[in-house]
Amino acid sequence: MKAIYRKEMRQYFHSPIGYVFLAIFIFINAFYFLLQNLLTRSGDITDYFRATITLEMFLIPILTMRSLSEEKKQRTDVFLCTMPVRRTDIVLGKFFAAETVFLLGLAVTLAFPAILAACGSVQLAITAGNYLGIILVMSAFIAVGIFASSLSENQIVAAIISYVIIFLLWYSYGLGTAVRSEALLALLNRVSMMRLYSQLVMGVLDPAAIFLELAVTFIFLFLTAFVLERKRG
Amino acid sequence: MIKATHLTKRYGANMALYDVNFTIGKGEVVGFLGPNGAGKSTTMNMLCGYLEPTWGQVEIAGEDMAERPLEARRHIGYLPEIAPLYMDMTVAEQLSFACQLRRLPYKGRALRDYVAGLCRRTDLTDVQDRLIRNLSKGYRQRVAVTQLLAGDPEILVLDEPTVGLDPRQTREFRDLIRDLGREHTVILSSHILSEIRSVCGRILVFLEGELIADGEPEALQESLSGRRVLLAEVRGERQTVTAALEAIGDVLSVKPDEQTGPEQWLYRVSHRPGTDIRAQVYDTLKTLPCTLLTLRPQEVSLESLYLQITQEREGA
Repeated sequence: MKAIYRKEMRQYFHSPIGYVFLAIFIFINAFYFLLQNLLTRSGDITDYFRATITLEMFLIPILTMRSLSEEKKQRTDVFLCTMPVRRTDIVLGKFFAAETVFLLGLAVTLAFPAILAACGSVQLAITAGNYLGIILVMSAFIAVGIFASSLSENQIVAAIISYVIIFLLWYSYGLGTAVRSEALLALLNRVSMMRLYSQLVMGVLDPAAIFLELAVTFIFLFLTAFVLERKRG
Repeated sequence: MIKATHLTKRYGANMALYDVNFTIGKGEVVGFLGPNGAGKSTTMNMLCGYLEPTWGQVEIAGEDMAERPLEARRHIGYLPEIAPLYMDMTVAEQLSFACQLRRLPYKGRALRDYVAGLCRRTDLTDVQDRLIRNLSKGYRQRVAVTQLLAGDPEILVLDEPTVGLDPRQTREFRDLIRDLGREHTVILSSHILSEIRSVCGRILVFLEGELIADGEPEALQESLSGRRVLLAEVRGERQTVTAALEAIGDVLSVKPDEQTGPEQWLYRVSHRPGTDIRAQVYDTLKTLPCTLLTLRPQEVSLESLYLQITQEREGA
């Protein structure tokens, strides 16, 4: 897994993709921090997080779309899959590399609550809840993105598949109104990423919510390994 | 070393490979021969654990590919038809990556030294710091083979490795494969007969998903043609010589093929495969009032046999 992780990191930063992602990520975050907090002189960090999270959601597929698509296109997937490496190691190496790049961007945003703290006060529990929420949600979306990229050799198609799945996971709460079945409604409510995130943002540390977000991440990583395995069948 | 039993691959209704069986021993250099779509690559993909057979079993160095894939893959290096290289890596980076995937116990300087050693082995030292994107096809192919050598797996599987190379690169590449064949078990696929014959000691012929022949190039030539031909140039009376040659046991037919001088003919003497009648021909002609000028076996070209078989099959 380490070898794949290192290779991925090198590829992110030997090509424009890592820098472009980080630049857009930091720009969007800084812009919204300026808009939501500095210009309005608001000390409430949640406004800033609420504004950025939907945009970040759309950035994740840019980071993950080439992950396995490019391997398939260049036929390097044959090389990886015939080396003595587990399929799960390939998937995890790629996942953790994308996660690292995302966390690098997120680390920069730690400056924003620090600025608020310097100028006034910051609610630590809420800030921590926001960060935890954003990390859990984005991890799940990174897993979705990697899964989508295992389905097509075309990066654009991979990105579109990611957007569709991310959209469904995020807004499944909203879809509830169109559903007649009680059981399905309850399920949609339960797995809606938006709802899970909202709970964490409010400082409610619900273990079930955390578990569900981790489960979504795990399921998509598992599905990716399954797709790689299925290529054998 | 390699054992394939009842290998079968079906894609929906399409049978890509049907009941293929073979065993390849240590140190053999084997050629997979067949037209495009005959099942060569499918077989190779299954031997290397990329594709799972619909039925059948692959065993590599005693390890079952389905049950112990990691252990089995440890013994194999696979070069698919399109060289699997990362264009944005340098040669040294690509080779280091291959070493890391094989979990070789080298780090830092030791890894660099090991990679430099690999480069020396296949003449890549001059280009080891260049991006693969900027290399010629010949060099890329060389890098792709070199990365297989990381960790020295005993078996190398090369799928059409010389496609797209110019004649000089092709020759160099064949020399490289011949060198590798001294220390490794090599499987090579091609639809070019001369290539396989120049490198391989054994040929497996694939056609429409079936293994239709398996053997040494010469034996294959014999068994496919069903007869061998000796060319004898003799000066002497035609009828006498023909009758004398026909009288030799194991001779199937004698035909004066071409007049090469006054009272001098080139005879085509067909005889049973597996027999050597040269001494008998010499002894027989010695007793007659004639002179034997040349005596040589006729090469029945594998090329023509191969075309004949494939056309017969396709026609049927």
